[in-house]
Amino acid sequence: MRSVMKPQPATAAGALLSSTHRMAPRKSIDLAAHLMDLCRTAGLSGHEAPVRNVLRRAWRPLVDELSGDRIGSLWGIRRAARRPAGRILLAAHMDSIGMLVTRIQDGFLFFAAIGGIDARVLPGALVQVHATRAGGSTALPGVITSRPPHVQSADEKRKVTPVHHLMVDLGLSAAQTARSVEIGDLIVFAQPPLRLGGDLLLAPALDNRASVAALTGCLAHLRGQALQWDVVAAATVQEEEGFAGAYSSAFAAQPDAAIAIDVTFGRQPGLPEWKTFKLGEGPTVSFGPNLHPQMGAALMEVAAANAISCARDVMPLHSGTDAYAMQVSRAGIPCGLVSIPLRNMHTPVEVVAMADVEQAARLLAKFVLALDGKFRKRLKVHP
Amino acid sequence: MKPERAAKPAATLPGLIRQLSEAVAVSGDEHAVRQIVLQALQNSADKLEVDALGNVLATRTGTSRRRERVMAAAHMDEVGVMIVSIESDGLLAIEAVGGLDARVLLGKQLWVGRQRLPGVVGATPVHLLKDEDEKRPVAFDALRVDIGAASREAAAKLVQPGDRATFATSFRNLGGSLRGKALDDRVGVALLIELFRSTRFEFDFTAAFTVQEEVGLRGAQVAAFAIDPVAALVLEVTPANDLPPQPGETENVRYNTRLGHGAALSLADSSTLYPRALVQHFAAIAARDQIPFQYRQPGGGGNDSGGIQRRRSGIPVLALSVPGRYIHSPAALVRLSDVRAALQLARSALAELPRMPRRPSRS
Repeated sequence: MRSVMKPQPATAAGALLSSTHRMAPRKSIDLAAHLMDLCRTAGLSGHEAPVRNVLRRAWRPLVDELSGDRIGSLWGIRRAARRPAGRILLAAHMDSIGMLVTRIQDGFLFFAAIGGIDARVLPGALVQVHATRAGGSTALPGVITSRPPHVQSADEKRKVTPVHHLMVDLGLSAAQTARSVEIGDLIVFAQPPLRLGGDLLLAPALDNRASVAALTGCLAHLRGQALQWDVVAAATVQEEEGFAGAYSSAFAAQPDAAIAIDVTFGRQPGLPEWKTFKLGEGPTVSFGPNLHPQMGAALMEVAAANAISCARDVMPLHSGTDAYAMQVSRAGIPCGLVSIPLRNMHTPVEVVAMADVEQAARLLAKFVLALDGKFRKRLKVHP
Repeated sequence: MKPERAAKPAATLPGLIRQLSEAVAVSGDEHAVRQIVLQALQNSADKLEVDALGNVLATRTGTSRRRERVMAAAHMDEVGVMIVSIESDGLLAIEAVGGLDARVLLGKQLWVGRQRLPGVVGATPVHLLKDEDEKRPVAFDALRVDIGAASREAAAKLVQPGDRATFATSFRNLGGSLRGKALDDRVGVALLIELFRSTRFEFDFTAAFTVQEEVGLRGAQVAAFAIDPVAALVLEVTPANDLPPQPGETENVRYNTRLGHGAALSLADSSTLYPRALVQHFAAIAARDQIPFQYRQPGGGGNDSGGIQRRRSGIPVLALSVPGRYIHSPAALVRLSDVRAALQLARSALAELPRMPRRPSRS
């Protein structure tokens, strides 16, 4: 049904990552370890500093310059070897969904959602509260309240408990809690990153740290390679709360073209097949009103030329990604969208296949290497 | 897939509307209308370009030495559906592109893809409907398009996910009224083509034929940024809900606009509050020149004005619309006298546009 090509053996990406390029020999990057690092680090929408710091360390050896927009997005910039034939913005949002303390009552923490939290998965979830009064970096372990079936009325049993009825219990006395926690403190899922069987990786915040890792992988591929276009790799802020970092980064960077890297729905029961993609069969390339048809076509061509398995992801309306914002920046920016299939989106147990992350990295790098003096002209043609 | 070739642009206004109405240009794939527009303007535009999103921006230099720029916009796209998957039996699953009611698709013929394959949206025979389903509106995920392909493989040779489809409606001139699909906003596109070809203003005039209005006013936003005008006019088709009262009602007070009552000036809608000075200028010109006009009842809905008004440091914008019944359905209906009134008012009011307040400096 979809133009899925033969899956690539997982070793190919690894081999490429560790191969030596002509300009600068380098160590290979362990993308899985890097991704698990990113997932262990908090970075809720509007509060991305911790994950930005991890990323700054990872990107410094891979880029010519580190910079950013004025609201916290991080840019890793690679300069073209000669006069640049264009500038491309590669954007993956680094923020993740989470929760925020709104009220403290009798030692319990009421909270609000940051981003699209699914209230159904919250009761009984293990969390960490980044308690400012307890020293800022201290993460206090907690659990989200749930009411045993025994005490629920028949009516309650049929309903999803809304977020504003739930609380975090730190197991501390009311006085201890009041001493440690402040209104506005952040709450993250405590689920540690974990390798599942085969090639799968489980963690909270894989949306969108998986794509950030792919961006890191792309920069690693490009290291030592002569480029014809300038590349701005951006880890954007606040995607989950309205794409703020994509708006500001696209406006400031003024690119000739942009690619958003995000996650898409992995195949799982109960979802329509057309909206979901099997894990491990490669990244997807999107088509729809937010995306420039030439960007989609060019990404598919690069994928085919490099034997990267890649499915078409069709998006009739809002892509729900940074591409939505970048496209309408200034006088308009041609956008592409590369996505990594992910199961259980916006829950503490998001799952991706590492091969898809690696293939996304490879696709982005091969695409950047294929950018030449003629590509800007191609974008002027609306087929 | 072979792109369709645009025919020579029609000479008369109804002829131009017919040609535009029958072109297929669902939001995000405005190619067919863009070709007609480019061809229609090639001899009158001093500058003609297509931007990164696919908007057509056409400029006629003004006669005055004051280098002010005024923008007028009409959107090329229409609501429709996107093929999202081909099923094993050769049927196509679809999703809405733009504000489209699934109920109006049941039992209709569609044009599918650039090659305009005929297809139909099937409906369960009424004999086999369960009682509760007879009263339940159908949802998009229950609709399938049948292009006559016997299998997934056969269908995949003709269409692919991402292709668009829209109503297969032939345009009809009913004598006084025009009936066709996508009159929202092909009537506006035709008006803008006519206005552009026939008039050279004092100011530089840029006509923006925009993309993706129906999915969030997206083309207009980037066009307004690029053009950076002192003022803008949006040419639209707005709903006319001027039907007799429903059983139980004594009077229809929520008509929005009425056919045959002239061009409609917007005061407020969900995307824009229109500057009083612009509204009054257009109303004054209409009254002086005896051009029929009406006010669109303030309320919901929106148009490219919302995308234009908030670009850069703010752009004064007005919407001038032709009332249309049954828009976003297989066949909308407009009155030709309203179309002509809108053209005349746009031309006269723009020609005498007062100087716009100076914008703050950008230092």
